[in-house]
Amino acid sequence: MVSAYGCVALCYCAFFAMPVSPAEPQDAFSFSIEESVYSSFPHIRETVYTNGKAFVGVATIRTISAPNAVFSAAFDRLDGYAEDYARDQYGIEIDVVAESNEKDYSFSGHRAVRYIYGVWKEVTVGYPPFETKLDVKMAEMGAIAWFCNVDFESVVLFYVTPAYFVDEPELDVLAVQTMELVAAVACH
Amino acid sequence: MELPILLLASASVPFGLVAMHDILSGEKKRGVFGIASAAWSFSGIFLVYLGVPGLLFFPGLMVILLASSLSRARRGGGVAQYLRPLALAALLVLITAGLVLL
Repeated sequence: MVSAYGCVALCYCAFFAMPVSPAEPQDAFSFSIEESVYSSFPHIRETVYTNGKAFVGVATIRTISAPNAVFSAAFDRLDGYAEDYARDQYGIEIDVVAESNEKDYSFSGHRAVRYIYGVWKEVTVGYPPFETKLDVKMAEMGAIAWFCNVDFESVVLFYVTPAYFVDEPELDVLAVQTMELVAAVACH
Repeated sequence: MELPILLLASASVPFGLVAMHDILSGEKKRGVFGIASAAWSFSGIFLVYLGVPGLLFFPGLMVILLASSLSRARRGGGVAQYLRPLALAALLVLITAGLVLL
């Protein structure tokens, strides 16, 4: 009986250590790509796509079937983590506000969880003594996660698109390109 | 189908073999429950692969375990024998309620 338990444990260890087949877009468009193995057990592979002010990160994680509630629970805490990260890494005070969440979002042929956050920063406009403080939306951040049943992998995708400003129309183009890249991400 | 999925499915095989041994050595009831749980886990992997929600399988396994310990408790012993099925039933109710609420 003990050896049966040992065999089962070995099977599970081998399963979690097996390299994942990373979820990726069919076309990387004009983004530069950086790939790395984040963890060997369980095997997690991360791919980061960057293009100027836009960012898309895709993590493919070896998992047994993961319910969408697990992803929702993680995304519910993401705003606080993002605020702390910006403060610790860059010394920037931002407010990350969840703008919408869908727990049964159709994405890439799967039922996914999608959260969208607005990244807000307080800026001072004008010159003393007439300056005023305004809350400006600097960027939009999205998080999408789903379980790839054909690969037994969970995919977590993050993206940040710069907010569109009237005087910087090229940022609008960049936001469109980022969303095209996000929409093209699919399981292996 | 890829190797990781076959590895995961094969994790049920050792318990299936132990259950077969139980049947052959006279512990028929215990063996049947063992075979049922191994078969349930094994088929679960392939059904999840085909798109069936994985949430269904853990409660199913708990039901088989509950039936097995109830049958063992009914065969003999005192009130203490019913503690295990009672604990399993409570866990099953909690898991099912958790899945519905989530």
